[in-house]
Amino acid sequence: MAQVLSVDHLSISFGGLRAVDDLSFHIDRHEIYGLIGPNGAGKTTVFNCITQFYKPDAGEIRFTDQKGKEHLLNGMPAHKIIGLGLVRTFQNTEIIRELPIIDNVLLGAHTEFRAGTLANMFAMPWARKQERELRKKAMDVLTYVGLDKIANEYAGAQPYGVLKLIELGRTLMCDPSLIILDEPAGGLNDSETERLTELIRGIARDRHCAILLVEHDMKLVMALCDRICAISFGKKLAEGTAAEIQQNPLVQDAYLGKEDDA
Amino acid sequence: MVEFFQQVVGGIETGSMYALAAMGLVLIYQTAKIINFSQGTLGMFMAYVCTGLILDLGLPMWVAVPVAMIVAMVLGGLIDRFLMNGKRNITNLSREMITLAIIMIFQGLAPMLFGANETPFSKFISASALDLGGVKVLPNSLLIIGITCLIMAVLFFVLEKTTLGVAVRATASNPQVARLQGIPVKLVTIGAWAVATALGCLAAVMVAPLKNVTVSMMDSIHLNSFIASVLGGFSTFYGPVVASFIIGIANNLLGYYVSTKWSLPLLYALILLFIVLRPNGLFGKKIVKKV
Amino acid sequence: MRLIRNKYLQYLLVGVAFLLPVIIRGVPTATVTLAASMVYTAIAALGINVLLGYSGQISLGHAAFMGLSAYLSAYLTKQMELPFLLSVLIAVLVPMLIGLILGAIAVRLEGFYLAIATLGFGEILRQLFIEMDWFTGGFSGASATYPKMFGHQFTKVEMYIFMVCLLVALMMLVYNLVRSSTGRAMIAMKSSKTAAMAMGVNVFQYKLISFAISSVFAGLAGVCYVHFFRHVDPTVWTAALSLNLIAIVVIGGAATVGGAVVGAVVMHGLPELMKGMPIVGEIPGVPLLIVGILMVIMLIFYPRGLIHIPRDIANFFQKRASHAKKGEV
Repeated sequence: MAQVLSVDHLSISFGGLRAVDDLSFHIDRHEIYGLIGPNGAGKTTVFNCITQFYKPDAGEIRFTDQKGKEHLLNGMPAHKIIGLGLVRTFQNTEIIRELPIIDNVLLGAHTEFRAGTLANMFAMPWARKQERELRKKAMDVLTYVGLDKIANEYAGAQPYGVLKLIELGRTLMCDPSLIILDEPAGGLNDSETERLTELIRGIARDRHCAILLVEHDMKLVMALCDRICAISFGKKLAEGTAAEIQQNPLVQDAYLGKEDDA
Repeated sequence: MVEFFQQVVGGIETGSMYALAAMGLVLIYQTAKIINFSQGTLGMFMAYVCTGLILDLGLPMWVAVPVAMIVAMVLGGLIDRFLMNGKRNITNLSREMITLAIIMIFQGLAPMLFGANETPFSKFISASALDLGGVKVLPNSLLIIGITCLIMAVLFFVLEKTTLGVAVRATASNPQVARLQGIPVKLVTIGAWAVATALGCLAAVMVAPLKNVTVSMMDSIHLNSFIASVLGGFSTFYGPVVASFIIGIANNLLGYYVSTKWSLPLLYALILLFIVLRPNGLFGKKIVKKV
Repeated sequence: MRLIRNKYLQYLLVGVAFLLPVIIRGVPTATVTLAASMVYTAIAALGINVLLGYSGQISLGHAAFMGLSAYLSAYLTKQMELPFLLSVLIAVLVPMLIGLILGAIAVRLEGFYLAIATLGFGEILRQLFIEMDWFTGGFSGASATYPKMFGHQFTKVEMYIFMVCLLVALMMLVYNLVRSSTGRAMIAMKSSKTAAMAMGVNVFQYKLISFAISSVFAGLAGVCYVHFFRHVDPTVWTAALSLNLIAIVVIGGAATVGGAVVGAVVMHGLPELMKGMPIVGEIPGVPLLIVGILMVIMLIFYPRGLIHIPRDIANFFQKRASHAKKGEV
């Protein structure tokens, strides 16, 4: 099967501390791939390296877009990543509190807008038309994640669970081929998590895109992921299906602490 | 050559004032992560207070200046407690704009309380110039340079060698982690504001004999301390201090050898060029932003 | 009701309100002059609002940009005898280009570098205004005339009407801009740079765009100033004016189109009111103090600005009314 993302020998350190150490993995098209590990294992750092918020010290990150063209992500400006069809969410949600929910979602389509500053200033009819079309698309996305009734309310006033859904909806606007989710269920209660699990599965199925996620909720990870990669101190411990990972002694040690050490 | 050294000594003297103000800026920037635009204005206001203490209460200068500095510390602490952190969820952009509002408040208050006239301010030491191998140095200049060096030495000692300094540096590097480790981050920023305002006060008192006490007396000092902090790099404590002296000396030399009128624009242009090449300043490190 | 909600109509009404002093007979010229001050400041503040209110960047040098345009327009129309519109174009584009170069250096770095760079640049420009007397007339300043457009010589009143029309047009343009993808990207960048970048917003580019827009508006304000007052000298374009522009935006209402106008009216109206009062009018520094305190109050307790007061009052009574209804049931 064709790959959508491949990470080869990725390393990055901060002030002598190796946050990610020679990590390699790849994600296939339409696959849901999980990255797990104890706190401080470097999971979010991996995401930041892939999306070029951090510049890795070593290693290559390659992404294959919808048309099958391969891109080397290293050194690309962070704002160009989404244009390839690779989009992410954030651990603590990064929502524009001053904007209505629908405008937050519309921000996800930012790279689609053809109108420049002057065209926008003079409200050219074609620019307004595109705005209306994308607003309709955003409304469809909001219906999909179940926020259509509060589309015009301000994002700042919403509870955490809604913010998580806004962020998820925002990623759908660019028709992605890979979505990176950083702890999508963090801070959610059980019923919210259950709904989210269904939603993520639905997104992968209906929109034909791969998903890479970091999550502490093992139930969600095990239920969703086709393959899982466990890391500890920036190093890969094991990779495999949910069942394989659960049985792996190295992974059990990393989570529970080595007993023979005591 | 004598003229050269004459200019250098003059540069070190003005550089001292920039350094005091710049140290205040960096203290607040490092601990509270905001730029205090009101540093110069607060110094100006404290110079008025000091003048009032001397002229109206008849205090001798060596009492009036420390008293004014203590008042400045209280004022700085109050500003941090009630304006910077008066309410939760106030953004850093808003905090910086509040410091802009403080400029207006104290520029309005100063003429209201102390009158709009320029007030002369005498030097600490009025003795005539010493002759050091042809270079004329006023004892007052030596005192200014001496006090600055002393204060810098004390501050650097506190920052590097004491527990208090560790608390300040921990807050500077990561406030959240510092708070988790039991460092009273709120007190640290109050302290930073207090010390910074006192340093601004001292700088203003040093400038006062040269420019008289006016509402606009601190404008150029304030601006140059900003530029020094940019040149030295906001991420270190010593960078801005070193850069202050560089700017003081360079400005004097450019003024003497090139043109008095164009020395400052020329200097700023050079610094701008430098910043293009080294965006983090002379000594600054690149900061990786947490995402 | 829906008609009143139409923003374009609202802006036209603002324009009509500003035209009242010249429509009603017997209004003293001093009132027109005061209103003209409000209008040119509002134009500059509208630009600052794009920069500060929407994009979250502080500039302390826009007064100098205004001054540069004012001098340029005076020089080009009077000494070079260029047509008014051409000289306006040059007078606005030059500060914009300088602003772009300055911004390109400062905006790459942390946010506060722009504030410091503009403060330093403004100070240098102000010195140049004094030194380059062949161009600026030094301390005594340069003079200009009421503009002449399409063969028609403007009078003072006509120049004022022209300024009001310009203000209304600019308000409409800003309104269009902020509800488009560009405005959304700016607000996003102000609120969360991380989210903006991840969603494909080129933060550097949008910071520059907002800086350029604010420079152009400052330039237009400077042009209005010089051709209304027909005189320009270096005492006007200080950092204090740049500070006032920021205060106007904060007090009137950051990230609202009308906020700049409300703020400008307060900023110029307040000292006039003060002057009329006994005792208070005599004390120096009172207006500055009041503006400063007002700004602090707004930033801490009412960050949405004066412009939101009518809506909040309406909401208050609506709530009261709905509570009362519930009480009856």
